[in-house]
Amino acid sequence: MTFDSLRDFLAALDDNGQLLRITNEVAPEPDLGAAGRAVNELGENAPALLFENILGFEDARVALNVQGSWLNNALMLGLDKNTPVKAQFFEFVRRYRTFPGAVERRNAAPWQECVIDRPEDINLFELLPVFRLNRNDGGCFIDKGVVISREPDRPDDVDRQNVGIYRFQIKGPNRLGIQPAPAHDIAIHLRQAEERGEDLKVAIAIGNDPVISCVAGMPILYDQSEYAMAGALRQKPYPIFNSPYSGLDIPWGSEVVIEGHIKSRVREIEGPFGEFTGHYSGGRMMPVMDVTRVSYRMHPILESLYIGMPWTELDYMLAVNTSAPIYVQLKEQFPEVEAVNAAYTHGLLVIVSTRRRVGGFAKNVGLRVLTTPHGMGYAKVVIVVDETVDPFDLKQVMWALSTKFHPAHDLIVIPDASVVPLDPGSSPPGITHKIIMDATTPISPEVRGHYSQPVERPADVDAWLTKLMEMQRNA
Amino acid sequence: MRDSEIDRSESESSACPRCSTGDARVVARSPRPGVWTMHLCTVCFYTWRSTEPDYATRAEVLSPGFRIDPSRLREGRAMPEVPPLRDAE
Repeated sequence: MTFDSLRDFLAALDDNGQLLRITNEVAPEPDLGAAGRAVNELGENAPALLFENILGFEDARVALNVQGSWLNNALMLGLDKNTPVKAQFFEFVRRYRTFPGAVERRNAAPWQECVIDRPEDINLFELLPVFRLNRNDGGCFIDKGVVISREPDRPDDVDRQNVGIYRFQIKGPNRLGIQPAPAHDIAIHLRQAEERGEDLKVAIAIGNDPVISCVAGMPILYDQSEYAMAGALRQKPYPIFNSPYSGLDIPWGSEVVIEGHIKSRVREIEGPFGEFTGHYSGGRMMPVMDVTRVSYRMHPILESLYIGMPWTELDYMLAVNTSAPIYVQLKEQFPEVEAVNAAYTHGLLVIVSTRRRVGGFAKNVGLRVLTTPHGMGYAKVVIVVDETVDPFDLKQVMWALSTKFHPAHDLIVIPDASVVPLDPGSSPPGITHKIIMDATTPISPEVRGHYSQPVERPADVDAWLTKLMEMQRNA
Repeated sequence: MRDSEIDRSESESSACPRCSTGDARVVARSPRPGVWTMHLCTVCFYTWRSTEPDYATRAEVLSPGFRIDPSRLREGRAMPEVPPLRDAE
């Protein structure tokens, strides 16, 4: 099952008992931020929330936590909602390897229903129920829109067109601040535009089908098309519409499309904003976008996500999609790699399970994580475990770390490596030491420790497991 | 919202709770009339809604670590840095 729009996916969540509608009136602040945090604290099976009555608005809706549980991510892939995370990971990898998928260009889009085409008539504060998420945020932010731009030097190359998620601070009725981190693809487009002394055309599409949000937050290669990746992950052509206004390809099913340009060579104060590291970031001079056109479906839904101290929707959303590319890249040199879990703070911590070719092998695997495209900017802590340990099961990982890891032999420290500047521990911002912890079982010629007598699983455990589960169900 | 719709008292500058300059103005009103106004500081770009809790709207309650000295606004690092212009061909 695939979904062409946010509305389609919300209906599927509803059918699966994964959507709560809040029809009582709520205040934009502090209710929406508080509810967004609270739903994250419901745990791994949390539903999405749809607010239908926002104080001061006539006809506004806000969706939160749409991808904020393993269940909702399984449904995104068209899988049974109870599919275990490791199984979701392998299915994701299987589809990722079918890249490029097909893209379907359609002749019209629902978001053309309503248009504001005079910049002076645009007031984002009145048009959308934007809100302050965390108390010390500098204002209202758009934090789950997918942002589309093209490479100024090759504007006709659709593979180099980028679709990414970046935060936008609403700094006026038709003025936005944007955070294009230097490691991200949009920063390459902006740099070229600014070298040419030109503005950069940008479209922000808000309220989307879950797959394009997943792909927009995924560390794929610069010249890989996000829409072709969405087609691969859906196993069905991904629908887009080329905007006659900006010339950018935009998801067909979006709720709201904001078009305009990032002003060339302009920086001004932005933030702060509570970020995925669980800390505020801001006070930096960042680019500015002028909004010149807004298009939207009738009764648009503003989709947003709570972001702050993990775990939040962001952590579920970026778990498998960050793990899969690292896994595929490691496999190219090390077929022994079994699975990768980069779910922690967008991969600042990565766990790899692998078979061992020779003694000391796991250290090579760990070092390779640091040189993957995503690992270079994240992967501050890498833990390597045996292939028999499920990297998605932290109880197993902690067992391996507590029994297999020897500090004198198994710790590698890489001084002053690159990391995303949002890492609050980096000093100066963007620079940190990195570590690899080898928690695999030593094999020849690395002969040490007393690992030759692991406790075996008693015979007939599986039969008993089935029997006990049956009894528990019938109790 | 057009300027003519802003009543006189709201269009006058007010003090920004974050940077304490007097250059904040009303930039939006609730679509359902009379429920809230949105305020924007034109110096530090802080925004707040009239219906928000005190911690976002009153300088004395705003977290001290998040106040801004307007004289130091341009001292932040540029991210990303502005690149040199290409040589004219």
